[in-house]
Amino acid sequence: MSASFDLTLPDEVVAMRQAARSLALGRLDAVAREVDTTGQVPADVAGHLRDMGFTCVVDSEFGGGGVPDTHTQLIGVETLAHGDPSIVGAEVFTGGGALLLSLLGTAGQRRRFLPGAAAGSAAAPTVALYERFEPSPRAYDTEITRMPDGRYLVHGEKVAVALGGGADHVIVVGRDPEQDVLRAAVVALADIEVASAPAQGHLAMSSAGLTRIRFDVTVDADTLLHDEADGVTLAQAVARTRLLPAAVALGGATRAREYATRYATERVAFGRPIISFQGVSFTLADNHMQLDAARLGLWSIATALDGLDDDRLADEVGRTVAECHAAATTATRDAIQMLGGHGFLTDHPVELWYRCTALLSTIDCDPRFTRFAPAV
Amino acid sequence: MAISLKPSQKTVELVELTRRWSLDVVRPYAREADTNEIYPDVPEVIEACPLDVAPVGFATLRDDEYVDRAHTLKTDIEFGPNVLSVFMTEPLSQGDSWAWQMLHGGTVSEDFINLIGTPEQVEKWCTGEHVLTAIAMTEDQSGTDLAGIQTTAVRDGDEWVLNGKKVFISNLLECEWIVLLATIDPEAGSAGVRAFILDRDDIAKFDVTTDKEDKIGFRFIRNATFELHDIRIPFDRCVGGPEAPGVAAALGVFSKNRATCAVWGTSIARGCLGFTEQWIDERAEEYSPARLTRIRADFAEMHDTLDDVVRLALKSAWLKDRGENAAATACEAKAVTPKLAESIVLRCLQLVGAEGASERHLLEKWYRDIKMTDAMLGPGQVQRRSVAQMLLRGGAGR
Repeated sequence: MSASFDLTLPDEVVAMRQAARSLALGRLDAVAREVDTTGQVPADVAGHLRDMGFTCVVDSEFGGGGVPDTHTQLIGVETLAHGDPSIVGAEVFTGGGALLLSLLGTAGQRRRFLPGAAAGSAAAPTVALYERFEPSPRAYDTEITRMPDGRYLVHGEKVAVALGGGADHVIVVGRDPEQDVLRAAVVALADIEVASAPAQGHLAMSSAGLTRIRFDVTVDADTLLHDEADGVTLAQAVARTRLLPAAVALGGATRAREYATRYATERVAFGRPIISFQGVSFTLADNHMQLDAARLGLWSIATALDGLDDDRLADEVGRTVAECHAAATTATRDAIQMLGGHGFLTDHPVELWYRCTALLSTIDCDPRFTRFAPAV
Repeated sequence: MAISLKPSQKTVELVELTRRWSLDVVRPYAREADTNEIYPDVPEVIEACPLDVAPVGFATLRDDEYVDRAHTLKTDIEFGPNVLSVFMTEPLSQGDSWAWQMLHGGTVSEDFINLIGTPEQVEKWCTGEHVLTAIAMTEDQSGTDLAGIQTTAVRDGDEWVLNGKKVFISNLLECEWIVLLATIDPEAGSAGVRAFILDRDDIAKFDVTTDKEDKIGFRFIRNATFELHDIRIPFDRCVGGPEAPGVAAALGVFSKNRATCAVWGTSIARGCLGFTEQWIDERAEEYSPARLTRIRADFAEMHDTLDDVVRLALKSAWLKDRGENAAATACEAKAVTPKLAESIVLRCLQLVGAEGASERHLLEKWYRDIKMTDAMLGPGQVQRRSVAQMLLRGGAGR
């Protein structure tokens, strides 16, 4: 993309976005309720999403669609989330390992895991990124420490690990306390203690199988991902991974705003369409402006991923993610509000989007960058 | 001059007793109520409640009944029933919301009859052993705007003949009787709307198209959709009679209940906040000092905010007890509270993290429940419209 300020999307990105929107509104939208209930994504939908190449990124060398640049992936994921943020969010979480492997996997790791992921015949490793008490990767409690024998001790606890895709390996991201750098290691699920039942439901993303895991395992050095490859560092890849759920939230919330706007033009109360009341139209306008600002913030930090030191990068991503989730949770709650009592019913999809944006906002929430803001 | 915004010590003690009941006795059944989508069948929970009348029903007690009730509750009657109602609603749902509606006077239908019914109707329908009741107001095209009601009641000799459709009606299949709003003059807008009482035999003749709506929260309350085809009821079932004030009196009922409905939301949020504070305190050593400081500042802000909006509800109740116009202040409380209460529950979810959004805890249930309090008795945007209109008329009160 251009180095100077320019928001023009290249033709191929416009075309891609059109295709993603068709899939979102033509198929994801139709199966959203079923997936929410069953926790199972229909095989054809999973296949279409895989073929799109945004939720499960696989290098073309191994049969995938290649690794899109960060902006393109964010736009693709957000557009797909118009159809259903829960399905797309779950796919982003389960597909996170493929992205890290495509960017930083060793040749052996990529050969072992990526062809199956590209073909849909096997699940790529999932990612164990988020922690209960320490949102910043720079200060993760999980440690990956080199032992005297050259192997590595991987010790810690992670939350929101997506096991619903059937992965049998997990890429654990933690800190090397001696080198003060991030490390990532591929760990067999069999060596990991599952601390919460995967079947235990969450507000949304039922197909993700979000799980809390604990681990205290020694692994060989060849299970570690590269710290840097082709100019991309692990800190930057982790930052990119953290931005994707924020894009999902924006996509779901934008759809909610569109849905509520349409409803408000059709619903008549007190003798006229409710959109003609400023209490309704200004709220929708605020939602639109907040989402627009958050999206630009997301694109902005995506531009700057390679220009920040690791500390600054972690904090800037934390702030940006917080802004996106604040805009998204506000827009979805207001969308329900516009529908009045109808908004609570499963007859309308808005309550799905309300639940999903709330869940996404809990996973990567740094209290330093978010706060309760009273409005009285 | 001695302005006081505090309850008496006796009331404080009763509030605490009620809070403990909600936390210790009601909360253990909260997940069951949500999963089974029906009130748990545990009458001992209701019997253990320190209150035998739902606070929302205090204001419809006759003066002598209220005095008796206050003595029974061992509280003061230094303030009127509406103020006591707000004070006592605040602890009621801190454990969970499912139980209190099972208390006598827990639904607005009895209010309708107590406030605008004839003495005979009050005697027949609102005295004696407590039964669960319901109210049918909402239609596909009509929510808060009663002028949109299209269900008709046509007089035919000594009977009314009802036709139409109602949606989203709570407790229809569980209730003993229901108050249903219909118009006796479709050309008259809201002025044509009247309330009618239908008993179990009448309800059995409804064409129920949905007996349980799938909805996001308050799943223990079942909501039905039904149609009425030439349902005939006796003439004396029109609340207050056809000449009684129509929608104005009906809105008066909602005006009173808006303040307590607002405090229902603060009660859920306060319970959620208490849970989260305890969860964080038990893990305080896990947080960096900067985060813990931020979190505790948030807790203080959230408590202050809840106190703010409860005071708005108290002001409305106080005006009502004095016989003054409380409509604007009730709308104020109802306009701002649900959104704030909801944002507090969301903040609690975020502070507990992904685990907070799982069924391991009740936070995710309360986040689904709290959204419901905003649409009840009119969503926030309609309340703001009402406040604005009263300001324009110079009638927003003191």
